[in-house]
Amino acid sequence: MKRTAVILILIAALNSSLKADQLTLGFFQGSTDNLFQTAYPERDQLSSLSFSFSKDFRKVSFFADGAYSYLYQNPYISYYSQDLGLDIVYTMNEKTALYAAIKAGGVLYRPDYQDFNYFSIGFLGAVKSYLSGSSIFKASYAFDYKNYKDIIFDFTSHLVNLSLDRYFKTRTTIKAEANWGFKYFLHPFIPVDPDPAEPEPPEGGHSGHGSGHGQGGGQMGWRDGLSLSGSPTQGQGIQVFSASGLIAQGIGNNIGIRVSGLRQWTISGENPFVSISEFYMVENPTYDIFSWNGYVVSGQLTFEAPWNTQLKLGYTGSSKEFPGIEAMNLEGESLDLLRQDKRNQWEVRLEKNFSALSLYLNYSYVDNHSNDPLFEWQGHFLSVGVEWSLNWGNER
Amino acid sequence: MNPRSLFIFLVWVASAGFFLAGQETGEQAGPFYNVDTEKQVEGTIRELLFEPRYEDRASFLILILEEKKSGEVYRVEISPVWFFDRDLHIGESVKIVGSLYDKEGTRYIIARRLQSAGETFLLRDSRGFPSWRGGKMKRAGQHKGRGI
Repeated sequence: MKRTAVILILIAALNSSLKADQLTLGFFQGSTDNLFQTAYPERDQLSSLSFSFSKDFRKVSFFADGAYSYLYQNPYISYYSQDLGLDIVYTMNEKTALYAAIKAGGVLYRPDYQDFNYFSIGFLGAVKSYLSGSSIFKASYAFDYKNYKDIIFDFTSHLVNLSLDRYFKTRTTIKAEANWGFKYFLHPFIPVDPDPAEPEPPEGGHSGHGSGHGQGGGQMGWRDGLSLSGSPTQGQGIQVFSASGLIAQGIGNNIGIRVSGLRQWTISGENPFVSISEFYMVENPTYDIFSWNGYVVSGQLTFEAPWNTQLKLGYTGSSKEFPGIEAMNLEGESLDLLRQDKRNQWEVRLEKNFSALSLYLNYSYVDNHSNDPLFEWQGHFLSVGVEWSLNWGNER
Repeated sequence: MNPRSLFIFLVWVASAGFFLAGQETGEQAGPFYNVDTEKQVEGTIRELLFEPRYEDRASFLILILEEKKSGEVYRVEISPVWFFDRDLHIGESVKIVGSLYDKEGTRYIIARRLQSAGETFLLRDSRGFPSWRGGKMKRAGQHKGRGI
């Protein structure tokens, strides 16, 4: 905690004394009645203080972001995150541009949660080309590597995205996308013969890392263990492919409607953990886009409300299956079924921009149904945010 | 290497980046944003171009915009990297607020605010300072909240 405070003070001091091009300070306050998103709801509030800095060096731009997030009821999850990187845009001609970026980052949690501290590096390359004035082709490739303090989460991942859209005179845009991804956990398994000092693994052969905080408490490893037994030198890959479509309709300059659908398949591999969980605003290394297959549909209405306020109303429905993850009863016994979740989510977002200040208000309600009773849950999520941009460079 | 050590190293590099940023003089060729010449134009996009605007800087997205009321044509400067997020097409209707200037018989606008299909994009603050800094990768991690 002390070190984090020192780091924050150091960065703030450097920012105030040097000539950055732009510095954005942000404060975000979130509140939920189900932080761990399980059948045992737990209220919490999250405060996040962030900065974002950028500076151009000719065609290359340097950026850095940092944020400290504090959870009031579960302060052991509070964390500081830091990212920095360089990006460049290169135009091949009047209709085609390339983008490339490298980024490094990391997260430091409070001591109780420090197994999930990580360092990461990433690369992103993208191309965008106007095939005609009304049709755009885009392609991108992203690579990520994350190194955790608890090595079972270490991974590399590759994501490729292709998209093609077309705009019609009726103000309708149709877009098709395809994604391919591969994630490789470098060493997710723990030795077959556990250390005698470790707690006995529960029935079903699950053992290893993580310890819960109360009934269904939600911290990673809430079921007396997160890891599967195996060779510690063995890796585990998951390969996914998805196809999606989007229809967007503009009604004047003030109203926009969009409807989209996505279907994802797991081509090979499965999750190498006992359980999959996701938390509100806190990253969980067991859950991401590689964890599931199924479909997602969404609809969104955007309009310019009075006083230059933007209002967005959204709905997202999904049906997901988690390869390699067995549904269990509340006692942690396997039900011999793959875990399947069906979710409905409604959301309202209000945004108001002033000259250098932006205000956000966000509310969402989630209703999640699962064949694993621990993940049969509902939750309300409310957040407000403010961002303040400071400029003191001479570029206007 | 220990993630904690790597992280501390990262913060140190960020600090060095701030220092280096302070050494840059920020010379700029080309016109400045002038709040006294602000104008609002509602029109239809007739052409889209990636075009160099400032010496030694990344190319900008330029819209050739035809005003609905008068039929007058403007070259509108949007931003260097922002176009990776929002896809604009020929034929789309947009409303622009920006700083107007004339050069060699052509009317130019440096856009500060763009509105289209219910969405508003603030490209510069009220004094004309850019607010689109940071590319696709940086913005990927900035979203707060769920979903939208």
